[in-house]
Amino acid sequence: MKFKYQELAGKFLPIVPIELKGKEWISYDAYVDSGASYSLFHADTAKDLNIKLESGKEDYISMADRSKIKIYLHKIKVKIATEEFTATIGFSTQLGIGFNIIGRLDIFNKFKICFDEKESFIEFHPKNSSPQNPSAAQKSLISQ
Amino acid sequence: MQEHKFIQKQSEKLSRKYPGKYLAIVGNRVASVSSSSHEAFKEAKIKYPNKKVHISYMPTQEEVNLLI
Repeated sequence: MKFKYQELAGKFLPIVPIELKGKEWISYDAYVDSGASYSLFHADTAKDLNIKLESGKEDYISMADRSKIKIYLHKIKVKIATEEFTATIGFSTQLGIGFNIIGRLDIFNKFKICFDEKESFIEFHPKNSSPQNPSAAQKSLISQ
Repeated sequence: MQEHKFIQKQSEKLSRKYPGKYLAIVGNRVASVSSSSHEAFKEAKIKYPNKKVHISYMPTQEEVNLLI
């Protein structure tokens, strides 16, 4: 499934929709960051989903500026492209950036992910299907 | 998905209009705008209690420069 990069503040960025399941399914745009170990969402998102932030597993991660932030890891159901599965998502009050981030853990192993910088799109191929032969359902969902 | 397509089409314009804000999108419209993701979501659910809400963030120039 292809997603065109979004043009934001004059730059084209790999941002895709991801749905998270809490009390209900809620959809968010998130920046795809292959350099991020964890998917990181704002603590506000946990409020939307009716998830108790502090009930998750506490961990600390290092940011690019070498500062450490506290995150709470929760296993929750997510939907990306055509796939629904359970993923570990980190929530934090200290992200320091407005975007939510899709990182590698539990997500990059479900897809072959292609960043096409020249054409400004990102493609998610589920690992359980052939990119050369997408299903009719996948074809109908191509987002351009 | 409809909401994401709306954002894709309008992202350049919306990011100029709402830097640093969260937008709650319902269908093809901006239902609410806030500095807080949760406030944007709550306001949209009050307006459209039975509709699906999509949350999108419009970055500032400074944030985009950090990502590149």
